Amino acid sequence: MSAFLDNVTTILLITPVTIRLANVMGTTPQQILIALVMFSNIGGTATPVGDPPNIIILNDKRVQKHAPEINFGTFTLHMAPGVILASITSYFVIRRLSQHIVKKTNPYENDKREIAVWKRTLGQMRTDTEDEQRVHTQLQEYVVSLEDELKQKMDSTAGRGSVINIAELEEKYPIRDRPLLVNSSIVLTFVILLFFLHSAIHLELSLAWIAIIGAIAHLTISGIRDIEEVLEKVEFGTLMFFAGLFVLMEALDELGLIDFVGEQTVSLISAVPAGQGRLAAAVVIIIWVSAIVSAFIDNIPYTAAMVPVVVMLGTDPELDIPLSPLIYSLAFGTCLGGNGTLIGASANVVAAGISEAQGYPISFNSFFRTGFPTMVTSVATITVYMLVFHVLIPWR
Amino acid sequence: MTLNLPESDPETGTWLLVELEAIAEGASVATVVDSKNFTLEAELTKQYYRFVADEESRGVTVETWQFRITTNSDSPIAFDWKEVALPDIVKYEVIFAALILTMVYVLIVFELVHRTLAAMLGAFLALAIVSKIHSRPSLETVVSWIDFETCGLLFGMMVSLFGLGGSRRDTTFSLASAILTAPYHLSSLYHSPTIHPSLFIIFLHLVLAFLFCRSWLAYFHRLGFLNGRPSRLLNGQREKFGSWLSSCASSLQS
Repeated sequence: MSAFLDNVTTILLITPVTIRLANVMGTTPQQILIALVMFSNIGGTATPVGDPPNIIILNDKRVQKHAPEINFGTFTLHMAPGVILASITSYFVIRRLSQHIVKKTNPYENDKREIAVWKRTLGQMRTDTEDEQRVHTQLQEYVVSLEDELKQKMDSTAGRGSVINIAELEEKYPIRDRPLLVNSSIVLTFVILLFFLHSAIHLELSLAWIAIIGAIAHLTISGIRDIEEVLEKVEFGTLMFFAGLFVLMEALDELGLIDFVGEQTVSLISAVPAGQGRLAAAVVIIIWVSAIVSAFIDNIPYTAAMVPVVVMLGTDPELDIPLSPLIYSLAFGTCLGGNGTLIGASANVVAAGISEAQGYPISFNSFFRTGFPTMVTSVATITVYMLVFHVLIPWR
Repeated sequence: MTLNLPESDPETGTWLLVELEAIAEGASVATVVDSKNFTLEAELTKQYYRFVADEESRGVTVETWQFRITTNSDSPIAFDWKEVALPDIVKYEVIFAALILTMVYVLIVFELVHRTLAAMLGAFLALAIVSKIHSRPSLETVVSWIDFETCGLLFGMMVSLFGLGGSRRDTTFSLASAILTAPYHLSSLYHSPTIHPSLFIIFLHLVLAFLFCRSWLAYFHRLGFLNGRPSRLLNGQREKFGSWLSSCASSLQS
């Protein structure tokens, strides 16, 4: 799905559902989410619209000028087999790594989380006026009573049955506000439809515009009076993180960090003797450097900085390297590298943010433990794929 | 065209940052040559062009810098010119950048502070170094570095999905189950066994099935996709869905 819809959008849509399903199934959702994000990142590599680096590469004027043979179709044709191979190998790695981690939640987990949520609400409350203080104290008492209840429960009850009955669930979670649900569904359907259309035909709307127009329409037709209540649920933590990260990366770019990596890559490739070996070396170096750098640095400025470098390498008559394999290598490296760490790709941060808000924090380390081995496996697969299909058998 | 720059400070003048921004759209290649005949090529688009005098010219006090800017453009082009003399520590700027990045990662990896705060601290430090070494970017410039494409998308979807969609505790699950059971509801409208009503839902199912089930073929079999017309699925779909969920749960736990 990520291949046709922007990664971040996909994750935004699927994460809440996944958490809820995992909840129903009585497992912790973190590991499932990590796997979901990773497949989303891998799937997004396949097409020019799936992942931001691909969008940058394909829209670059220099690439269009020097490699006119690369368009939506040929790009997908060259990327998709590699992506399929990489997802097969990553699937086994993720499975292997997840086996021990996905565990049944203990039956009291939900109650514990409820208490945690109450406590957080308590922390968020203002206590300026007397009224607010009164509510605050009452909440505090309620939290204490909940904790007592949980203790009693833990002493008395045993585990519950594992068969899930959907009718029972529907009774448990009734649709309380049917008009709102219908309205929401209509707006969301339109927004998602526009997202898909966006990748298929040229709209004069960017994804951000579509989302914001959707939000405004949603707010209008739902007839909600208390706007504060709605805005409180927007995760400003995640948004602030992105803002901070973008500024950090741009400032580091200003300090020349990314240019430095580019220069080192070029000098490394130029040092290899000419011939078939040089192309192979260039492909391997670009894939691995891109993957490792974009795991730790945001991959958007990196791609923006590397595109001119790669074009320069590919068009230099002295080096004599064809351009298109280098471009595919760059796209593979930057996209798959995003799986390496929690902050390597935007989709990872979004999933972590949503999950944390629902009471299941994903730590940097737990992501790294699954993400990094998976990233290494998928990148190794791609290296083999590129070497076989672009170096041994030149396929243009 | 030759530009003579004002005299540079003898102590700091060996490092020079030049920002050249073509105002005309439509790229044109310009060559910038200084008095020592260092030739640099830059493509003048709407981007800044950055030139730092290289190692050879260091230690030589240059009183005036000369730049020659040529273009292959037929029509006249306009550009912005800004030059800043840099302090000597500019040669360590990459090291500073690497140190800041390492610091941010240490903060995040060891969870010393929340990652939002870590990113903001890192951004603040990096801006401080940029201000010290180059010139201080205006607040407007710094804000323009934020990719509002990503942030706007997130904000809009968060308002729709969490703000309104999840405003009642129960609606999220109802929505989830509505999406998941939608193929059965929708399939009553269509009677074609080949064209499925919603491509999106198939994809969602594929992803979920791929993740949750030991074998997603078995999942499809269970739903009856492989052995009958979709419209037949309406009978007993609830039980099937429930048993699918519980089988997934048990396969995950085993």
